[in-house]
Amino acid sequence: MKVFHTQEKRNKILNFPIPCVRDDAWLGEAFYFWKEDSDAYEWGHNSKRRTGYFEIYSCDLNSANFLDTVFNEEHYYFWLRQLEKIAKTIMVKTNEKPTIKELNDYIRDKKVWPQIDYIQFQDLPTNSDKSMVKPIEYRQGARRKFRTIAFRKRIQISVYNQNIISNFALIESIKVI
Amino acid sequence: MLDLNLLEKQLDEVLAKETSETMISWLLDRRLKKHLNDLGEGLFANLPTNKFEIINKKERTIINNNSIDFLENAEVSEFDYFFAA
Repeated sequence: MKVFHTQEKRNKILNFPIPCVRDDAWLGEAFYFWKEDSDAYEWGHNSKRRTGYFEIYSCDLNSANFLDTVFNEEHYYFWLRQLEKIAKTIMVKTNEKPTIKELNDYIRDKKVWPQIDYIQFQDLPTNSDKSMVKPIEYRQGARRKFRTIAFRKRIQISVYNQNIISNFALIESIKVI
Repeated sequence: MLDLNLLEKQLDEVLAKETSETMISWLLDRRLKKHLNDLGEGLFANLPTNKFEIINKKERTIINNNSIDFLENAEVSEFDYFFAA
């Protein structure tokens, strides 16, 4: 599967993707990719602005050992159930509610599923500027409100096993707008 | 292809071994890592302990120096004192 990786432009062209350890990387520490290049470009303009340019790379992922929570219903419900199980255990034993990132970090830290090479998941894009549909306008009493519905899945892949990554190459360097 | 039954069994086995102590220890460790990440790159500096005095507001007398037992002996409420660096 061909996927895309967005990074800020650095002094040297990358020869391998950079793992993400950000607090909002909610699938835990992993190499993050976009399934569609349009999302990779949008991420660059929105989140990789520090150096004024960002870079889009592509690579191939070679593995059949992945959880597809986007298109595989069985995988999705399985994943949901397991995360809820971990959350409940943490809450019962610590009286603390974990973050979604902590749930996924638990799986990595405890080496629960070493055989999973990557997870495919979706989040819904919140920026309606690039959407092909305009927000729905509705009334709440006298107030005029807008509801943005994102019907296109924004699909990401988090890779835990770097050995499945191949043919990593720069596609383009873009100036941030 | 992944065997979901095996994956579920693996998780159940790991969770079954957790106690409150192990889980709290793991969570604290995770959150400390996050806190350290938030601080950014740098080094921790060893600073000498600062001496401080706890002073009775009304009488302006020093209640104690660097002691945590002062409330047991002082005849003042906790609002009658302040810390002076």
